[in-house]
Amino acid sequence: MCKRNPGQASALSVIASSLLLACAQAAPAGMNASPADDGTVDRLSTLPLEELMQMRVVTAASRFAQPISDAPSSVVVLTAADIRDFGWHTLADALATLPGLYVTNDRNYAYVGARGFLRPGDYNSRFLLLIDGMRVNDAVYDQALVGTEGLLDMDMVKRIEFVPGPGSAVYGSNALFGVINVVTRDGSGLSGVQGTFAGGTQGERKARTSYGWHGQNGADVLLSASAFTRTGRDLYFPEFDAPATDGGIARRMDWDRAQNFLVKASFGAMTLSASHVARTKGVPTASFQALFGAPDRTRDTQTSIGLAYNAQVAPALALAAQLHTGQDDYVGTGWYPDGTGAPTLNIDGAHARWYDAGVSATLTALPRHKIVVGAELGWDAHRDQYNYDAQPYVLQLDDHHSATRRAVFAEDEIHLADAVLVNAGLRYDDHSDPNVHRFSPRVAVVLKATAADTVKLIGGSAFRTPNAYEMYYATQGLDGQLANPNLRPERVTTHELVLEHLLAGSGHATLSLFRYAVDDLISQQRDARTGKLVFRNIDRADARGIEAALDRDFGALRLRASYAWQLARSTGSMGGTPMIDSPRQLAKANLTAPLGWRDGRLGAELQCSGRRLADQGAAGGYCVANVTVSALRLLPRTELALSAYNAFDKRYADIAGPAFVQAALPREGRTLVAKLDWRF
Amino acid sequence: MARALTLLALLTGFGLAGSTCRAQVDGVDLKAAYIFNFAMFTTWPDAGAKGPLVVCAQPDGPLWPSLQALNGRPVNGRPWSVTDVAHPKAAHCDIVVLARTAQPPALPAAGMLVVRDGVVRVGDMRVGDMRGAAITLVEDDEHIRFDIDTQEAARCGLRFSSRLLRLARNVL
Repeated sequence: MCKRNPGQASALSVIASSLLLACAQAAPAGMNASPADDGTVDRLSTLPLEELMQMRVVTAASRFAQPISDAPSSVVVLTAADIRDFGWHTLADALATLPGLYVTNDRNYAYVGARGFLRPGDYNSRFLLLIDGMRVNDAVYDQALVGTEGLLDMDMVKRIEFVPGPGSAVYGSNALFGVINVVTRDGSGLSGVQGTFAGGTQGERKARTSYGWHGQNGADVLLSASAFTRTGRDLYFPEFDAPATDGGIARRMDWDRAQNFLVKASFGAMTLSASHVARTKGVPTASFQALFGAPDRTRDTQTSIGLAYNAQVAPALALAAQLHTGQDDYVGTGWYPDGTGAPTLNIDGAHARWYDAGVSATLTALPRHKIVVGAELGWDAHRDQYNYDAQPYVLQLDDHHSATRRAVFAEDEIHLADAVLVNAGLRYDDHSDPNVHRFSPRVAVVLKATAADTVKLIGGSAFRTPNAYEMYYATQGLDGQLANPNLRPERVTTHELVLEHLLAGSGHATLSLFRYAVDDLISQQRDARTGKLVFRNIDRADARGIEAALDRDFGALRLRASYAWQLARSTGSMGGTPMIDSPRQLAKANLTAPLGWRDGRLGAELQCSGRRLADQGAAGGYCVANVTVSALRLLPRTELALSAYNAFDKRYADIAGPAFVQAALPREGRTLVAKLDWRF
Repeated sequence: MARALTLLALLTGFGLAGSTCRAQVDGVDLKAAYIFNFAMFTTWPDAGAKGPLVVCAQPDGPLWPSLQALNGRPVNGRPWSVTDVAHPKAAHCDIVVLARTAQPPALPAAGMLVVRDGVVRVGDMRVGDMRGAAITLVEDDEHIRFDIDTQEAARCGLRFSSRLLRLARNVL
């Protein structure tokens, strides 16, 4: 796919010139626009307030008053409207539409790559996932759960904020390639009881019921429970095509079940929230040398409970404090051949529990300064891993560790002049196990070149401490894994230039040039001597590239499109070899438009990725399209949505990684889903 | 990929070529309609006034065109009349509409209804943002809601109908 054929080159130049055209035309085009032309406001002003309150607003993400153009990054915000318009049912579906990000799936978990980095064997530990500002990466794998294993039902998400780039200067470990903050809905948005039922191909079913209440004194309550199940289709793996393994067909093994719960209550400055997910997934891939066709499964449960305080205690002082605890349990049940080849049941598991306390103050007393200072304390009480053969009982691993984390940070947003803003942040982290003491700086210079043009120069560094899985997981046998307690933290240093152009009327165009240099990159490889898997700080790596993004309204049509070209290479002893699972090009487009029938909306998305190299072989490039028709008002208070995912049934695959016999794993084919929402 | 890129390019180019570039409804019309409704359910200190209902706003603010479109429409017998908040006549505003980022007037004159187009930002709106406005419009989960600050209203001598108070999201 990456062959440089003339057709592609010309297509690229069309995009480039289109973007320029947009910039040139934007200013005069919007000036004459008047929303009052069609008499809408005249009509609306005759309606009673009760009716106005029922109306849904179409709001572009670029509308945030806190100017995104001031942010020390190129922030992208996705809203509940986007989630509905495109029928995203996991966080991974939403992230896949963002510039420069790509999402893979090994039929167990979903994985996110950025800037050309996605290391097989890693569980999204290079992204920090926050829910309502609270860290939910677990304490064993540092895993950000973004697939069907994710904590939240997407119907309960109000907003997803993605801050690309190094975030350690504010958030500490794991914020290497970006910070994902998911904001949940409030009771006031629901105002009553809501229900959802969805059904689709591959036996997909989903049900949800939610209740929201808001009192005029500001008290707010939200309750929600959902259940999801999918039978999954039969999958063919040519690597296992033998009579003894059913011709390589994994029958009825790709099933998926999840239950999600969310409770949230707030009054005044306090918010108490609790969320829980229990997800069980059939594993059809015979990963980690399991017996093909055996009923392998993984079960992940995660619970997050947090208490947050947010208040403007004085005109120039805002205080925020939070207490949070999380628990994450993983159990993998798999059948593996023993010495004689007979199936043996093996249980692999992890138990994580962590506590966080944080406080921060935002000071605006000094003219031209906005200062945030904060401190955090964390205790990873359980980072436990175990592994045993069930019959006969053989204990392979029973590992218990705990760790503490302490950090202080400060950030200052300085308005040097009307057109110059400097955002400087510094954080000091002190971790035990592994012992890490680190400063993480970030500096962004934001220049308002014109009223519509912003130039940002961003430099920073971020780190990730090796997680308990990488350091301590060890199992016996030829196909086992070796511990490596001597791992060092992974570090990234980044330089980025971002040009943002506000388009008149609505929307913006962004162009970004970046260079990321990663030192001590932790990767899983096979140990040459023992043949076992082991994590090592193997290498240095370097990624450079360019990203162009456009977000704009054309009348009632909204288009969000992006193109990324990135070159990620190992630069250490191996010298200049391309990274595996790293597409050279990514192109995306998300389009929404009113359907003009029953208040319906059309959401269409196209996601294209270039070819990705594996250790052996490669996964070919692809383009997939998803189409959703949503918000069809068939009955009062009832909405119907119809979705076709991978609408053209494109066959494509993801790189499998060292835990698999397969070089690549096929992705899902066409799936059709109908979803009915109603409110009382 | 080449085909897809061409499609993407065409899509992008097509939209731009069309370039009718009409501003989005984007809730501004809806917010103007809300403000019109607020006027109908507010009693001013000089209840007997017959002159125009002077609505002051910033011409470069997002709500300006929508507010202007209502010019001349009667509100309880008084014609709706939009004027620049910076205009000398602005001292006689009945309603002041503040953009989300604008500073509220230090001490609103008696009889002035200050409506703020609320702030939506990364992080949630806080109660502190309401200061200086009797009514704050907020975008909440794809809908427009409003918060009422009764102390602020009382200071300006305004009375809101019970219906308005009942429909408010928060009443402080």
